[in-house]
Amino acid sequence: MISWAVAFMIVVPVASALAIWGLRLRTLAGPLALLATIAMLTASAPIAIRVESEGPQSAFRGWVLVDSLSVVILVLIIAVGVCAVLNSVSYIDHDVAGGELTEHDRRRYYALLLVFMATMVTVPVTNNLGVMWVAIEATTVVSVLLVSIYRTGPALEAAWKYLLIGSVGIGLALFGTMMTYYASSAISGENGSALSWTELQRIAAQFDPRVMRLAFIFVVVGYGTKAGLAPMHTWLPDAHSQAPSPVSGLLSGVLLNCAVYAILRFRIIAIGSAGSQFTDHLLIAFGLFSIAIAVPFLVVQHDIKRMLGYHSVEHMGIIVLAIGIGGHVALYAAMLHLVAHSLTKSSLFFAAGSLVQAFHTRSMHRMRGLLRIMPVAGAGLMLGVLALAGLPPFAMFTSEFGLVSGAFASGRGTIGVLGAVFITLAAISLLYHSIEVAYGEPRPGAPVRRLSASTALSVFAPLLLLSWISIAPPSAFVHSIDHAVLVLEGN
Amino acid sequence: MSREFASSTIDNLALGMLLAAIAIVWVRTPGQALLLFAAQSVMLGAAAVSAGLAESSPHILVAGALTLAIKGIAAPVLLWVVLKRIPAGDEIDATLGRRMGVALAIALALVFAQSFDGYPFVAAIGAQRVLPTAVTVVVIGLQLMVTRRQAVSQALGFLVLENGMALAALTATYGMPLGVELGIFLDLFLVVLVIFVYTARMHLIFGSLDTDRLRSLRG
Repeated sequence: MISWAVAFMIVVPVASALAIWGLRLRTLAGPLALLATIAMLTASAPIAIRVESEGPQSAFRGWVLVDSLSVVILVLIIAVGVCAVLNSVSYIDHDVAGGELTEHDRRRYYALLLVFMATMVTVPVTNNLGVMWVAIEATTVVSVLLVSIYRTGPALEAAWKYLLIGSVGIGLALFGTMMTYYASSAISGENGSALSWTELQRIAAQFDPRVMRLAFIFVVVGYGTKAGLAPMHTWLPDAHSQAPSPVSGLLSGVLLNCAVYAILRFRIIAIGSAGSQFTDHLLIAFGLFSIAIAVPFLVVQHDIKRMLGYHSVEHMGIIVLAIGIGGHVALYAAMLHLVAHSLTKSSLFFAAGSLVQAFHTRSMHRMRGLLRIMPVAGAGLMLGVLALAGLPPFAMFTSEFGLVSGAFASGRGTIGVLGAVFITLAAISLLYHSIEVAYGEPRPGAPVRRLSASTALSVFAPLLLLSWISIAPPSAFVHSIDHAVLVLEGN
Repeated sequence: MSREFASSTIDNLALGMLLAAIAIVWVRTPGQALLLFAAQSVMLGAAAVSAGLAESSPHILVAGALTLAIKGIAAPVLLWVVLKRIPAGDEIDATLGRRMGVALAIALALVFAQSFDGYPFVAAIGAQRVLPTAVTVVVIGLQLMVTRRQAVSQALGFLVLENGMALAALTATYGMPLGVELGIFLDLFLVVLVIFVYTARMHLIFGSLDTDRLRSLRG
């Protein structure tokens, strides 16, 4: 059953992409893509239920393994994916009508978007670190093409940087994977299972810790490049701002998670071999640096999508910092933050996309009085901003509080306080910029543009989900996060 | 092929790859650099083939054949097509002079040869000098990417880096399991295709391949 569901989640989007491309679909491309992602969501439900009730499920002779950690990542990818396709419908129609994209581009867009979904879904379900690498590199190749879908100079510049920096990063991650394979094949011989992370986790204690430490450095720098950790983050604000906004939502909301997920899997193995002190220090350093470096760029930022991009650098830093701090509380905070960030950031990018299309600019100076002239989009944007700033009652308040208290609990109080200071500065600058946008005096000739129903749904659905898990989290959600934390702790 | 013969062959091929990398830093035109890269890839493929013969392992032979096909032929040909379309600006533009560049590359080679010295790896094939050599090739690739301004040369830097990685993987563990190896080659091929498309588009939009034009996104 699991093997059917997993195969379905990968085959359906690829087949739909081929159909959109091969049958030269026009107006039907959007609805078909939506149908495909909803089908994926349906297929993920039984997997999630099985895993949460019966424990990890394996399929395809051990090549596929889904546990609680995979389920969290997987369901997020697909849920945000459905919203992104929903958001694409009006967005792409608008650009095709305005002549920025052609009918041919529309086909290309939906086909690539679905293949992108398939590559992302492969990451959390494979039990093989090599296959995971191949899938993550494939996400780069596909998403780069989505970033450059507008044939403009800046889009090409962003895509070129993303392709080269991303490929080098991922190359380093391959080197780290290769070293892990080297460490394990010394123990278990050269065969396929020497890269299966369940097997690696089992025999990690026998690895040469020097090799494993070196491997982990390469993995963190390599996949960290893809996750937007500073100082390897320079491509991220470019790519996330130049991509079509629904794609920005996917890049920021869930693709970054895939890279973090890869680091998490390696972390479990590295701890088994070299102990947790080394991995903790490395992750704390990268996490704290990423949060700190985002702050000055956030303060001076006027481009709404670049601002959201830099916030992604900051929030990936928060997640990695919480993981580095370690202990049950901080790890729980990390997982909760990861979920909350996905929902919030994708919704914000979807809302920002409508604003950019309405105002014909990404500059926040030109978007004033939003609540008066575009009340629905304005309300969505402000709700998302409040959530992203970590104000109560939203989940990011809980997770950031958990990060700091976890830091004190594990004797890393100074780091917790330092992190909290930078996080607060980032939140203040976010609120400052957004309050101007929401409440400022509308400029003369400001556009009045209503959101289409599908766009409004794509903006508000993630926020509703977020409010639900923030204010009255269902016990199933709490349990699945708890189980994911148990996986992170190596159980 | 005996293992001893194979390991000394691979040692020599690795040295050849390093010399090719340094020569890429040295030469004046992207066309020459491309030829050197093709030669480097052929040496990499030959190293894989000799490892495959020594171990009589079909999987390593397949990897060697794919290396020859993709890195030795497909990638250089595609980049050659790009260069053919752009008659002017054939000179390599670098932020670091050629002499300084080569000096840096040689210094890197010496540093890695000294400091790496086998630690903590023992190459599977028994070739002694390969691992530090491979790491040096990786770093020279990185140096090319950072110091070159012309798009094809930057892409070439990435491919040189990739060759270094593949050499390290080949000698440390005979590469990855075949299924994973095929995926890696597929990804690499796709990256080369995208590089091909982008360089063509860059020429279309900016009328040149100078990545200094890619400077509008800041802050």
